Amino acid sequence: MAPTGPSLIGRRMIRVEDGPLLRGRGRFIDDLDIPGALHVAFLRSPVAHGRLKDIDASAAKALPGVHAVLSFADLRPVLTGDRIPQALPSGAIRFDVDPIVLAKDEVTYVGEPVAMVVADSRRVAEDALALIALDLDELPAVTDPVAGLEYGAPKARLDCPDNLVARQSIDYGDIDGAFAKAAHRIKARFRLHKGGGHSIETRGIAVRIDPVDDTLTIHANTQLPHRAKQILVAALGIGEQRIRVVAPDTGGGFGPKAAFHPEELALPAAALLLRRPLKWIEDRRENFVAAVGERDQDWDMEMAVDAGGRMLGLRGRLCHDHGSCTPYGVALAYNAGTNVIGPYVLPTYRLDINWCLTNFVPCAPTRGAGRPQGMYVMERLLDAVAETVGIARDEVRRRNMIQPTQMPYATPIKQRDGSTMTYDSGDYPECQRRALEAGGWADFPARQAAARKAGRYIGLGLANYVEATGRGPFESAGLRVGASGKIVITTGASAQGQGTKSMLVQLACDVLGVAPESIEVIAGDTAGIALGFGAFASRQAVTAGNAVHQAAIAVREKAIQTAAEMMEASAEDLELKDGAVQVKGVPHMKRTLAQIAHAIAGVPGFALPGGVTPGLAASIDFPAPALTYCNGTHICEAEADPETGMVRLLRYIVVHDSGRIINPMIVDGQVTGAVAHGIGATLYEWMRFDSQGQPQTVTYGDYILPSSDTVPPIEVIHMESPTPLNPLGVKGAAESGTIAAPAAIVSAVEDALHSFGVRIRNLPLTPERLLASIQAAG
Amino acid sequence: MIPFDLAEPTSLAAAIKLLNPDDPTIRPIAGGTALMLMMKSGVFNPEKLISLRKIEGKFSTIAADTDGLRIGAMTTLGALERSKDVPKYAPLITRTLRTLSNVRVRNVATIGGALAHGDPHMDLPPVLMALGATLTIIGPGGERKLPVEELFAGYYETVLEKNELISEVHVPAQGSKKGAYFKVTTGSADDWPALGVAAVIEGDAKLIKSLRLVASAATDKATRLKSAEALLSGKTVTDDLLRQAGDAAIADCEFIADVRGSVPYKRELMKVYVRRAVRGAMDGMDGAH
Ligand SMILES: Cc1cc2nc3c(=O)[nH]c(=O)nc-3n(C[C@H](O)[C@H](O)[C@H](O)COP(=O)(O)OP(=O)(O)OC[C@H]3O[C@@H](n4cnc5c(N)ncnc54)[C@H](O)[C@@H]3O)c2cc1C
Repeated sequence: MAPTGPSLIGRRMIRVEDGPLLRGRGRFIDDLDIPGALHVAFLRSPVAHGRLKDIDASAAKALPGVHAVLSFADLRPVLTGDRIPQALPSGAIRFDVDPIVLAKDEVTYVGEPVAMVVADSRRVAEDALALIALDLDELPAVTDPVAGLEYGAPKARLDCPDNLVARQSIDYGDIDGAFAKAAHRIKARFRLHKGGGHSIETRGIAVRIDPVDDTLTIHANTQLPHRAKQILVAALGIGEQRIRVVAPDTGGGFGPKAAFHPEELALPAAALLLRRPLKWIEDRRENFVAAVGERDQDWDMEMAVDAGGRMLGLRGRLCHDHGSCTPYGVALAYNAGTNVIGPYVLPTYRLDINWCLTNFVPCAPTRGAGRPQGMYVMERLLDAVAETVGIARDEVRRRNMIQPTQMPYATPIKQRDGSTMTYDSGDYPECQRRALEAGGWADFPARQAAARKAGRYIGLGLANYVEATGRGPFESAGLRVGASGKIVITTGASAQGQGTKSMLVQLACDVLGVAPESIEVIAGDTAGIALGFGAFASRQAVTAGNAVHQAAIAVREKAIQTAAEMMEASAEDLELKDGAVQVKGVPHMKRTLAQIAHAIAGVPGFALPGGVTPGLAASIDFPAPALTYCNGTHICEAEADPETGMVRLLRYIVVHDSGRIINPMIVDGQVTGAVAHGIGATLYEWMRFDSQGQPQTVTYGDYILPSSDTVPPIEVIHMESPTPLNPLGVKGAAESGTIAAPAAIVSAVEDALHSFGVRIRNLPLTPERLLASIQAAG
Repeated sequence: MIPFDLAEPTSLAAAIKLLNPDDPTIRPIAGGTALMLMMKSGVFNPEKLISLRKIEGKFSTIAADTDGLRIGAMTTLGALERSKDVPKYAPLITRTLRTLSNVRVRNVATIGGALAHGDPHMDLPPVLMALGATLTIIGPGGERKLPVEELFAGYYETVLEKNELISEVHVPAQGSKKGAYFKVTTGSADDWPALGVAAVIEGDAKLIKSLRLVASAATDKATRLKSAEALLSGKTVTDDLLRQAGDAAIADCEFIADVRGSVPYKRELMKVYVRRAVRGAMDGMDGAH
């Protein structure tokens, strides 16, 4: 039955989260007052690599207010194994190096947790840290993923025979034949850095132990509460019914909060040992050194094209800095490798991906998850092809683009699970056309020449992207109307500020015709729903969105069916409007959802009306067997100072297609924020280490984030190509803005400095690096 | 953070009595914006802090007359920024404050702290040196005057004794002199600079009668560019002369590398920005861009 009234989908509805957050009523992890909680501070490795011989905590234990100082040996009795069982399966992995709760006999990065102090206050706990003596033999550190794979390199971990922790390849088509017949071959090497997640709220964990119920409740600002629970069940060897993980309001995720960190096991294990509630809030320095993030990839590539600039093949090698262990599988570099093809037809491709263990904090996806690097490589090479062949940058892209008539387009690429990477829908040439038009591409040469006369160097850059979104296998949602009329949605989806709850409420309101205030969403609580995943891979509108949509439809049908019984009317004559089922055209003949819910909640001894099943509720696990691909085009205008290498962004245009849009305001925010992230990754953010693996940038004075004066106005233009893969036709949107930004910005800078013949390869593009490129070209 | 004592004397004289020339764990604290960061990162662990917040109000006021400005050392950067007198007598200071840190820091940080901290990346030292400012310093033995130019002994080092306090900064009126301060950041505009260049010039549209040129951030301490000054003073400015001045400035400096730039890069910046600062001052562009 079709919904009555105008659809709410596509409306700029105010987010349900905003009121409480703006009034200071958010409840973040550090706002939770856990009665009697003791505070934890971690002693972290001061060196990148070393043998841990002894930990002398006697002085720390003697400090008044200290309850315990715990090391690996202390926690091990309550654990099922030495390592944290968190591997994501992959045949590419040569050595399993699951993280460890606290260092056992080897430290493998600066910041690795070695011991934990439990004290009356964080202050006392930190004071005690200074009293712990570590007996460490420093070992040579691996601080470069290319050097780390060379013969004779030191070992990043003593328990692995070498540093090649995983190896993958993408290989299709006759690559040698393609290169043999090429009119041009273009070689380029890229060293691509990408920074961390840098959510405004650092990580935090509070553990409550309930001696009456014998349960552990873990409050943690994780993106994946259900996965955290699964790992805890396995690591602590206690039953599902005794562990609850719940994520409170969370101030940003961006990837790092998806990986399970050692502290997330250390606190529950310590709470079990000490039988006390515990709390730990990561400080900013810890966030810099101990939260996972992205780092370096080294790409050595060669492209073959015909005389008209059409791609024939691409081959090369990617060396990925993996860090010292594997908290989140080996998807990151594979994403980068598969995403290289973007919206283009690439007939042959061979990429060898080598994952190098290094003595850095483990690498795990941040917004974009490898795709910005892959897209950057393709787009930089296409700019080079345009230059070599002597055609415009937009033309080389048009010549290579997948056409809308080819949709669905099965690429020759196999995904991690062996399935074929298939683009479901989209019109890439039209998307680029709209972006060029909005960016004033055709008129730009005249503007550029005029600026040049005035002594200014401006340039316009262009980049396209495609992103796999809505990763499965499924997401869960339950929707229940209570006898009070209140509607509760429970879901495995989790929210870190994306407006996830608003999105779900909007979808439910659309079907049920109720006011947003009548709906409560419980997201990110393992007690709310048994199964679920959470926030990663731009997936929640696709997976949880469709789950809630279908649950709401099921509830609507049941409400009408029940009301028909109650009113002795025919279901065809009824409609759901404003929270009540009414006879069409006779609004006073109705039953409210509350009345219906009350009726089928049941009364002892009385049958339910018409034999309907109990409860005005539905639960749906929405399966998402295939990914849906969003796409877009970015145009960036930049000005460069050839004397200093400084870059300023003047304008930024995004044409973005994430299928059908539920709330454009939320999508605008996601795209804009993601572009800002991309600007940071391109121009400012650089987590630096010295050659011994010591971090050099551990404050926001030294690690520069994009800010209001460096992010230009961003114009977002929506295009909507609904996907056929889900009933709502929606695709993900939250990461895509980051993907094309590095390529678009660098294209603009090269264009601005075209007269110097500047070639930019590495990221980030700091003024110093740009000046060096200018001087090298001149 | 290890516990420490906090004293809150109500007069400068009392504050000085609480300081100890031989004990580096006793320190004055003004706005605390620099000191607290050092304490949080564990670089500095005080036994006792002597707060200057409750000392006589006269040390946090700004007086102006034809001689220029007398600024109490406890004046906050925010008060300095909003003062109506400062732009009249030393507009270069007002310009500098606009991109110095952020409003939250400026509202508590003090001019005394900005000088005594001795961090070479700070914006006010080169500007005050170019303006020819002097300090009044009070110690147990009484008062002495010191040009700001002579305050800095090296990287995070000043000539202040541990029981001396800056009480006042005297800035001569800029008068007909033109000034520019170029804060060269490689990140956002209110980031710490990779280089700061201040120029204060007496002259007309083409001819420089006299000038003071000071660089910071790229250098181990705020440094007067005396060779460049010698090349330029009394001369008609040409591009070529400015280029020579840029090269000469390099020889005046002890460069330091940090995350904002290597030594070779900072040298390049110096060449470019000596030229831009002199031109900027002469063309009436104060360097705020
Ligand atoms: C986020 C941030 C960004 C910043 N960005 C910039 C920037 O862009 N440009 C810039 O120039 N600065 C910047 N700063 C630095 C800021 O200007 C200084 O921290 C501030 O000026 C120090 O003043 P304070 O009163 O807070 O000093 P405090 O922290 O109280 O003291 C600093 C030092 O001076 C000593 N001291 C203080 N007052 C006196 C006195 N009267 N006599 C003798 N000794 C004294 C103290 O003992 C201490 O050693 C930034 C600071 C922060 C926190």
